[in-house]
Formats: sequence, structure tokens, C-alpha cells
Amino acid sequence: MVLKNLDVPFANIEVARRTSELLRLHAQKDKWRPSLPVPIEAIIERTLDLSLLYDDLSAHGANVLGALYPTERSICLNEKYLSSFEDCPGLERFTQAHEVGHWQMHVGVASIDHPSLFDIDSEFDIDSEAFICRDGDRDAKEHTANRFAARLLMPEDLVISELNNYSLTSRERFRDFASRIGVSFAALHIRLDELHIPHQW
Amino acid sequence: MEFGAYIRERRKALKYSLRELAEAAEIDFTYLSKVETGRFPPPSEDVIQRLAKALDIDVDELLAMAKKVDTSIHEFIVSNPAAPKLLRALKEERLSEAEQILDKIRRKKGGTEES
Repeated sequence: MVLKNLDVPFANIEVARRTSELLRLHAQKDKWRPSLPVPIEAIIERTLDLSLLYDDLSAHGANVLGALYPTERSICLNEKYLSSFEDCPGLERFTQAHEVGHWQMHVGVASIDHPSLFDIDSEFDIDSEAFICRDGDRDAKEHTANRFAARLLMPEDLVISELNNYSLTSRERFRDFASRIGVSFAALHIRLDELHIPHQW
Repeated sequence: MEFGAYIRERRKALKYSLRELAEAAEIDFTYLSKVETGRFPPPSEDVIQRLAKALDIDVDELLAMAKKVDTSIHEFIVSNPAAPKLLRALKEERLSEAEQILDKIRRKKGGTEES
């Protein structure tokens, strides 16, 4: 269920709560022992039972990286970006996690499974329209989905634990660490700043 | 269940990723994703055979789900006039009787191999 007009601090608390809940659920359902990189495809397919599709999304305009089709329970990545995804697996994984963010934060899952039980004018903002996500989108829902993706792929406890065995003493080591945990350089940079973990890269 | 959905469920049960299964079946993973979600129709017979092997599924079962017939069986039917007659006769019998005939053939084949 999605409460209308979430203010930012409340949305952040919800993002934190729902990412932790999802990781816990995946650990339980898939017998996953929490570690990095977070197995985002397994979470999508086996825990959330969403299908994963690679297709041409050019019809939706430029810079579209991915989409979520709630009624089809499907996450689609734009195959036109395959070379970018191959060059930077972190980008592909972040796009997948971003769409999971929309699914967890903005889609009334119960309304997809049981549409007749829900009234769109109720207190819950039930969204079953497709989410088409472009690189650089800055609206509130896109921002929330990005925060969700960052927390899902880089849970605070796992990042800190991993950093106990790895020092970020050079830009190269920073890049290597990002690659090891399956995220992009930029995503790691933002997340470490958010966690107030000092680094100089 | 549709062909693509069946492949997807079996792949998930075996904990294979799209890329892992695609590599084992020697196909592109984006193509596999389209087959699984029903965007594309079931693939060719040789791809189905490779998918069946990778997923440890009976190939005839998978071909039937794709509404295809093994090429060697197809060739046998079209080159032997008695074969369609036999199949028509089986179709008109109850399935359980067809299974009994199949069992007899298997036993006979097993006996021949043992002797």
C-alpha cells in the first residue's frame, strides 16, 4: 500500500524499512546468507516473482534505461543500453533495483493481485500504470526509487562490514571496491557520503 | 502453462539466472527473456533440445509444449504410410490403452536387449 503525499523524511524512513524487510524476506525465502553483491536478479525473480525482460524501449523516447509494468509483474531493461550495461554492470543492477523500488514503494501490489477489492479514490494511492524511467529523471518518485536502489544494493551493515577488510586508499581501489560489490563508482560515492563514511575519491 | 512461463519456472527452481541458462543453451539472454515472457514464440527444435538438456526436462514434453514434433519422428511419419494409420488408431483408442501398447513395446525392446 502506498500512502499519498509522502513527505521526504517519512519517505526515507519507509525506504529504509522496506529495503530491510525485502532483504530479510529474500534471506528467508532463498536461503541467502547476506553478503555483497546483493543478488538483485534473484530478489526480482525468486522473491518478488517479477519477470525480467530485455527489450527495445526506444518507443518511449530517449534515455530510457528501464521500465516497470506492474500489471504484467515485469521489469524491462532497455536492450539499446546493453553495451553500457556490459561496460558497467553496476548500472544494470542499479536500474533493476530502481524498478524494484517503484514496485515496493509506488505500486499497490495487493491491488494488482485483487483489483476488485480496491477503489482508486480510497486513501491509498494505487498506481498500476507503467513506470518508464529515464537516466537523470528527478521527480519525487524517481528520487525515491533511486534511494531505494542505493539502500537495497548497499545496506549499511554490509558495506561497513566489507570495508573492514578493504581500505579505500586510492581511486583505483575505490573503483575496484565498487566493482566488487556490484555498483557503479558514482553510486558508491553517493552512498558513502550518505552514510558519512569518509573517503577522498 | 505456456512454453515460456514453463521454462522460466523451471529455471527459477534450479536457481539459474537468465544469462546462465542462455549460455548453457547457446542462445542470447535477451532472446531468452522474450521467449520466457511470451514476446517471442517458442524457439526452434534444436534450441528446445538444448534448453531441455540444460533444464533436465524430457525433450518430447518440451517439444509438445511448443507444439512441435521431433524432426526424426516427423520424417518417420511422412515416409511410412503405416505410421499415420497407427497414430490414428491410437488417437481413437483411449489414452490408457495407448499407454499399454507403449508398455508392451518397451518390455519387448527390453527383453530383446537382455537376450
